[in-house]
Amino acid sequence: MAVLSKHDINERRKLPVTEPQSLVITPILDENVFDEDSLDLRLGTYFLLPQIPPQPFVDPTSPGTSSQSYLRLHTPLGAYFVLPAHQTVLGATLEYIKLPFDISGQILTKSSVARMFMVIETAPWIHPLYRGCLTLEIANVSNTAIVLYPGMTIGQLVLFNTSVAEEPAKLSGTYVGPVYPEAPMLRQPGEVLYGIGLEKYRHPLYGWINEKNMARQVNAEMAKLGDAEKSNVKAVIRILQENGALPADNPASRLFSK
Amino acid sequence: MPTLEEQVRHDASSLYQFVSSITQHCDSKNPAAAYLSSSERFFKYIIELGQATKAYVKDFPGGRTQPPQFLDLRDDIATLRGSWQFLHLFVKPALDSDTLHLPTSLIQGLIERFREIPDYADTDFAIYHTDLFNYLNVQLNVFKTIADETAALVKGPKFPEKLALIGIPYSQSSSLFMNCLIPHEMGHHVFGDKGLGAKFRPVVEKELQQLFGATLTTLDRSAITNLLVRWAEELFCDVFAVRMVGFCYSFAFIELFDVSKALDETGKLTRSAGMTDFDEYPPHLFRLQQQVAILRKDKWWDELTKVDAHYVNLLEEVDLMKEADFNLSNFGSIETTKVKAAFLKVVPLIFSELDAVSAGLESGLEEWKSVCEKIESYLEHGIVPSNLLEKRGELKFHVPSLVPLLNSSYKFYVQLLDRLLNHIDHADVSDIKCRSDWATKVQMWTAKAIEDGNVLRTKGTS
Repeated sequence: MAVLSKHDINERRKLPVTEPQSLVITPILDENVFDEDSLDLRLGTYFLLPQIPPQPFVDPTSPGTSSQSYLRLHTPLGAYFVLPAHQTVLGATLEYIKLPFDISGQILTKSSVARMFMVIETAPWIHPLYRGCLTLEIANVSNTAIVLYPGMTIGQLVLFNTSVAEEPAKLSGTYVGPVYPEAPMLRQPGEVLYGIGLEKYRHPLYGWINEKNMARQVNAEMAKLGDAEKSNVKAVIRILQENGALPADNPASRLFSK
Repeated sequence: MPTLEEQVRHDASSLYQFVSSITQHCDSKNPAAAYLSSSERFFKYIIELGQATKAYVKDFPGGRTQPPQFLDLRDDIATLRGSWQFLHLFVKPALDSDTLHLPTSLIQGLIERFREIPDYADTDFAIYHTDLFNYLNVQLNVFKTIADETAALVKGPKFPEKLALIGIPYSQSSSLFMNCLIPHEMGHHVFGDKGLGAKFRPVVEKELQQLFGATLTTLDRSAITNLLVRWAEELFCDVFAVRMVGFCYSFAFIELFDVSKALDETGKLTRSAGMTDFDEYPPHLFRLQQQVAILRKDKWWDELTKVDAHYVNLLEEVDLMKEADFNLSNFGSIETTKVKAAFLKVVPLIFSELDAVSAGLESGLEEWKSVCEKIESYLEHGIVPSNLLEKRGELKFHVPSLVPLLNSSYKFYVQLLDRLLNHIDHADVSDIKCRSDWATKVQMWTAKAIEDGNVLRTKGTS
């Protein structure tokens, strides 16, 4: 796995986007962003600021958490954004990147930025074929607020050759083509844990849950009921949901919404 | 009962509070929000006019002692309150329209494009949200008159020169394609600024005189004249928009008003009921026909007819319509054929005025022809088309301008979205949500390309 030099990067940039080996980094506002083995990336103009959640914790797998947990902000070029001490924000690179099928990448905090005790990336690996502006998990770990100017160079992109032999037929991935920072989109614990053979999981609010077993039993009981009785059960569920006794993120609520 | 002097003092205090509450919104707006410079100009003006108004009423009743003087002050207070009630309508919607809640890069691009018209090189547009479905231009002369009358009374600043206001439906604030309709509202600004209504009015009056002689009542003549001038204004704004941004305006028009429902299953125009009647506005299909005329004049048409899309099919069908296919309704006993004939006489004048006001504006067609396929290829591969590789093997890039970007991207969305979906794992071309999600991405990539282009062009490098 060799690091691509400036020459290698530019050779890839010279290829039309229809060619699987092509590399796109746009906009390049200044050719001086290239080092011999990397290039600087700039801070974009959109941010997602974590908000204090209504519950005493954030459950990233809970439906709606992403939209409720962040305040979206736009700081145009020329304006600034203040990141208080010990605070975090999701940002994105100004550059939109398209990696070829045989190149991986890594984004690193620029050393001058790191020396201000700011971390810009905690999930730095970029898979082949990625396309989009890179979401940055920016953390100010210093004791003072730091002013961030969109457009400032903030990270370094290092690219690596991989031994992938051929281009996959289709693009895949949770995050395709973002131009803004993206909030996490984690799968429900049931989906993930059942996949590795677990029958149940413990929910922070509702305790131990076995969704499959619950669905099996509920469906069996419902099958014994006539239409009028089923309708009554549904009415009861609706009353519980409308009065907050069966919140939307409750697995039972999901079961009955199906 | 309080004395008249006490009543005036009370009323002045009430007005003072009202104006304060408006200016306070501008003064203490959300510090995390950013605004277009044109909006900042608008807020600054409101604050300054508010300060002048408050300074004016602060010492009421001043040295006045006589009842007639008090009554004059009451009139002033009432006038000012009326003016501020009008200005009040625009402040909150403008505050809601920060750069996060607008298609900011598109608006900046459109303003730059508008400024390519020599007479409007320094014109600015402040954008505000409206809860109406239609885009709208504030009748600037009304706004300016009210603001300037207020300013004259309180010795405050006049409304800034070369600043116009445009309302966009709040629901479309993040849509790129629908906002291709904004140039129509810019057209209203030009129409008012150039006094085109006053130019068209005598022509309309003359035509009505020739066609109707003395058979129209004064009231009918006046109402019809006003209506025909309004139709002329709408048509002017349509063709102005097409000249400014090309066929993407027509596509957005078709999409917003769902005009493609006029086509039957064979692609023929047979379901056009309700879209051929001149009423408060010219009918959709007539408006589209005039847009086709300007697309043909500006040489877009030959290129557009090569595009296999139902929007183009609709435009081709509309192009075949005859004058007799359009009707007038709600005219009572007045001979509608004559009214229509009078209006059709004005149409050529609309085109000649368009040529006059847009002289020097390059269409963008040639650049579009050279980059359209490339932009489509970028979008098909999920890439922001802000820096187009000029030639394989050379590190030379082209930064596409606004007009080629908008038209290529809209064409891609209407004609070629499936190509993009075919590259995406689990994307179902027949799934409406999936199509909507990826259409949104296409718009985001295009908006990003416009934003990048604005910066790249400023820098003069790629």
